[in-house]
Amino acid sequence: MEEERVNKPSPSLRQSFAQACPYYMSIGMTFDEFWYKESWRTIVYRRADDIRFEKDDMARWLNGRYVYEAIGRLSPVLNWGSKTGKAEPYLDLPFTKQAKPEEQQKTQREYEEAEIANAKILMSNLRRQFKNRPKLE
Amino acid sequence: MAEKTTSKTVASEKKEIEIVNPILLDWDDREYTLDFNRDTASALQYAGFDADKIATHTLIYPEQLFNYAFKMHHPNVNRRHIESMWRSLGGEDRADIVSELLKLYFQTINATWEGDGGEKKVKWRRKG
Repeated sequence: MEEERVNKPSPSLRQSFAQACPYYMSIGMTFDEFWYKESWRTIVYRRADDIRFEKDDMARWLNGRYVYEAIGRLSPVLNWGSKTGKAEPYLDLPFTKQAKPEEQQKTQREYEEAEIANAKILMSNLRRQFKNRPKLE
Repeated sequence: MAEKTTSKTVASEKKEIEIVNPILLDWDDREYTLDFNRDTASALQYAGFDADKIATHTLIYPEQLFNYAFKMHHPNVNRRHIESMWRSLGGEDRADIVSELLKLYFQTINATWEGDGGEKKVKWRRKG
């Protein structure tokens, strides 16, 4: 058995390359490119395929998140025991367009500061009006 | 006479891509590019070339390697012309060219079945 294995001729390079060729053709390489062009191109194609897979995987994951989010927002309708029974509206913007928590905090602070400034103006106006009011005899 | 190859690296998001550049050879006011593709590397092996035995079969294999390196870019160059080029190369030049040609030859094989290049690389050392 061992002797058989030793005497078995190793596959030629052409056979080995021919076995690998369909895989590279499946990731976008042409037959001529595989056999007749620079050999390192296969590395680039493999990397490109890795990147494509990662991007597709990210898209699938994001899709799952949207479905999860949508089901979560619909859950009051789906839950028969719920008192409200109203579905929350769907996201206004996609996840990538939504403000980050830091930005949300910033806008909140800006809003508060504007409110304080408005209140100050209102108070000073009232104070002025109160000062200039006609005196009662 | 012969321009030595340099390994070029292309920055990639994950890891660098190592490329062995072809050899440029000037002869009779003409520039020749020596390289291998999968077709010529297979033809070289089919012709009997064995890279493992190149050190012991110094009369046949280095010249055969040199000869087949022309086939990718210059398939119609006369064989005698290539032979005369080979004869004109000095010993050191020959050794350098053969070692660079071997890199190009192995690139065709390694680029086809590259390992995943993960962090857990096999460590090895020489005995003694």
